[in-house]
Amino acid sequence: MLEKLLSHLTGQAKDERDNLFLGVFTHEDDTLEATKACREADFNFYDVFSPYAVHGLDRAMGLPFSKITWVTFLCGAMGTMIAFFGMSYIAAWDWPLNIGGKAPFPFPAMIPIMFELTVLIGGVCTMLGLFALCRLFPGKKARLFHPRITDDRFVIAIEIDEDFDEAKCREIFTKHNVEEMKEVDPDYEASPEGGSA
Amino acid sequence: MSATIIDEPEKFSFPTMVKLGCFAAIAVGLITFGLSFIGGSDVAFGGWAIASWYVVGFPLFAMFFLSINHLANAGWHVTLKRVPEAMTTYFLPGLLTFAVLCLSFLSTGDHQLYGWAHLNPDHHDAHTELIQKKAGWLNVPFFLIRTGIYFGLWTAFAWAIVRVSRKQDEDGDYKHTFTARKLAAVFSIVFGLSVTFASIDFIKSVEPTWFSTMFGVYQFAGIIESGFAMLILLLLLLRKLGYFKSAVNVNHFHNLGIWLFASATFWAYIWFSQFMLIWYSNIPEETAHFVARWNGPWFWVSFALNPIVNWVVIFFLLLPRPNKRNPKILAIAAVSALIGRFIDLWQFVTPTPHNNAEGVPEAHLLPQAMFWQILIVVGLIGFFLLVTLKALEKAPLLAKKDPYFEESVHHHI
Repeated sequence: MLEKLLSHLTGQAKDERDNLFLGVFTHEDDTLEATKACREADFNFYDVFSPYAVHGLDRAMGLPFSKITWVTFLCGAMGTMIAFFGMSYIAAWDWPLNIGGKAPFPFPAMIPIMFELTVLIGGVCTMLGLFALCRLFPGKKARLFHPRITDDRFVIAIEIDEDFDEAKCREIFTKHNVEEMKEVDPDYEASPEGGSA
Repeated sequence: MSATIIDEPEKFSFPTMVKLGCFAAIAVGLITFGLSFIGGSDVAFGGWAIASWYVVGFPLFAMFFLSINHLANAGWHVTLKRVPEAMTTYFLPGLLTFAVLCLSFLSTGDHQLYGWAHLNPDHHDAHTELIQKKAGWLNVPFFLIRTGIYFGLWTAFAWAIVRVSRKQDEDGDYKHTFTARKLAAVFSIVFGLSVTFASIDFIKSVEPTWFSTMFGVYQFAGIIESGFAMLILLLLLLRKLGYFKSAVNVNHFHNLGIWLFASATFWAYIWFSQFMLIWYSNIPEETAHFVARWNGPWFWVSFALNPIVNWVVIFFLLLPRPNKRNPKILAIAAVSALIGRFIDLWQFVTPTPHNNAEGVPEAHLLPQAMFWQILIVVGLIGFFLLVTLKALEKAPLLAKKDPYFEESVHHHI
C-alpha cells in the first residue's frame, strides 16, 4: 500500500523502472574516481552509496546544490515574523500590559524571543525539510545494495537505460578496482545476513 | 601523494605605489590630528584613542587567529598564515601610538579625554567622588605601567609564535607545530584577560562612571570582526599584486567569509545584549551612557547606523553561499565591517561628556568631530599597512615546510 503510494509520488509506475547495474568498491578514492568516469561517460546514476559522507561525491555525481538552505532561510524568517507579530498582538494590541514600567510595545525585549523562534523554527524545519528531500520518514525500510554498505563497502548504482553501455561500464569499474559487478532488477535488495550481494 | 608544486613568487616586494599610498595616509592622519586640536584636545585625543585602539586590534586579531587555528589543529590557513604573522609585528609601533595617546595626560585644556586624570580635589560633587573612589586603579602612573604590561605580553607572545614558524621554515620539523600549540594555549588566556583590561583602560575609562559587565567581550567581538575584514582585504590586495594566485584559492576566501559573517553576528549579539540588559534593569549608573545616545542626533549613529553597517549589511551580503566565494562581494562586506568598527568606537568615545576645567562633566556632543577623527583612523591604518607589508617582505610568503601545507593547498569546501 505504502509502496504503491510512494511509486505514485515519485511518478514512476513499477514496471517502467529501469534495471540497475551495481559496482561494489572497497575504497573511497576508487569510488570517487569511478563516479567521475561514469559521469563523463554520460551514464545516469540511480545513486551512489557509502557508509559515510565522501567529500566531493555530490559534485562528482553532478548533483545540483542542495535546496535545504532555502528551507532554513524561509522558515527562519517565518519564525522571526511569528515571534514579532505574535508578541505585538499579545502584549501591545490585544491586552496591553505594563511590565516593569516599560512601554506597551517593548521592542528590545522582543528581540531575544524573535531570535529564539528564528533558530527553533529554522532548525526544526531544516530537519523536516531534509527528511522530505531525502524521502525519509519514520518506519521507512532501509534498502541495502550490499550487506556491508553501512560498514566498509561503497556501491555505485547506475540505471540501465538508453545511455547505458555495459561493456564500457564494466571497463570503467574494472579500471577502478571494482570488487563485484552485477545487473539487478529495480526492487533488488541484499540480504542483511551477508553472503554475496 | 606527491607534493604540489606552486608556481608563484615566494618573496613579497613592497610596490612603491602602495608604499606611497601608506605614507600619504600617514601624512593626512598626522596633519588632521594636529588640526583637530582646534576642536579641543578631547576631540584630537579622542580621535587618536579611537584610531590607536582600532588599529592595535589588527595584530591582536592576528594573534587570536593564529592561536585558535593552532588550538583547533586546523590546517586550512597555512598557505595564508604569513599575512597574520606579519600583522603581529605592529605591536611595538602600536605602543608608539599609545605613547602619543598618553600625552593627553599633559594637556590642561578645558575638555579632557581621560577626565579621571585631572580631577579637581576641591570639587565635592557626587561625580568627582565616584571617580575618586576608583583612583586606586585609575591613576596615571598605574595606567602607564599597565600599558607597558599589555604591550610587553603581546609583543613577547607574537615574537615567540612567529619565531617558531620561522624555525620550521629552516628544518621542517613537526615538533614546532606542537610548540606553537602550547604557546597558543597560554596566549588564549593572556589574550582574554589583557584585551578585557586594555579595552577598559583605553576606551571605557573615557566614561569612568559607567558600568558594563560586557565591555571586554564587546570590544573583543569588534576586534575580531574588523580583523577578519582587514585580513580579507589584505589578501585581496596581495592577489591583485600577483601573489598567492594559486596557494590561496576561493575556498580559503569562503572560510574567511564564514568567519566574517560569524564574527559580525557575534558582535551584533554582544552589542545588543549589552544594551538590552542595561535597558531592562534600568539602573541609573548603567543607563546614563545610553541616555546620552538615545536622545538627539546620536540616536541615528548608535542605534541605526552602527548595527546596520556592522551587522545587517554583512549578514545579508554573506548569507548566500556563492557570495562568500565572490571576492567583490566579500570586499564590500569587509569594507562595511571596517567602517562599522570606526562608527562603533566613535559613537562610544565622542558623545561622552568630558570634564571641563572645573572637573565637572559637560556634554560635548560633536557629530562633526567625525570628519577629524575618521581621517586620524585612516592615517593609522596607513601606518599599520606600512609596518605589515614591510614585515611581509622579510619571510617567504609560503610556509612550505609546515606539516599542514599540503592540506591547505588542497583545501576544498
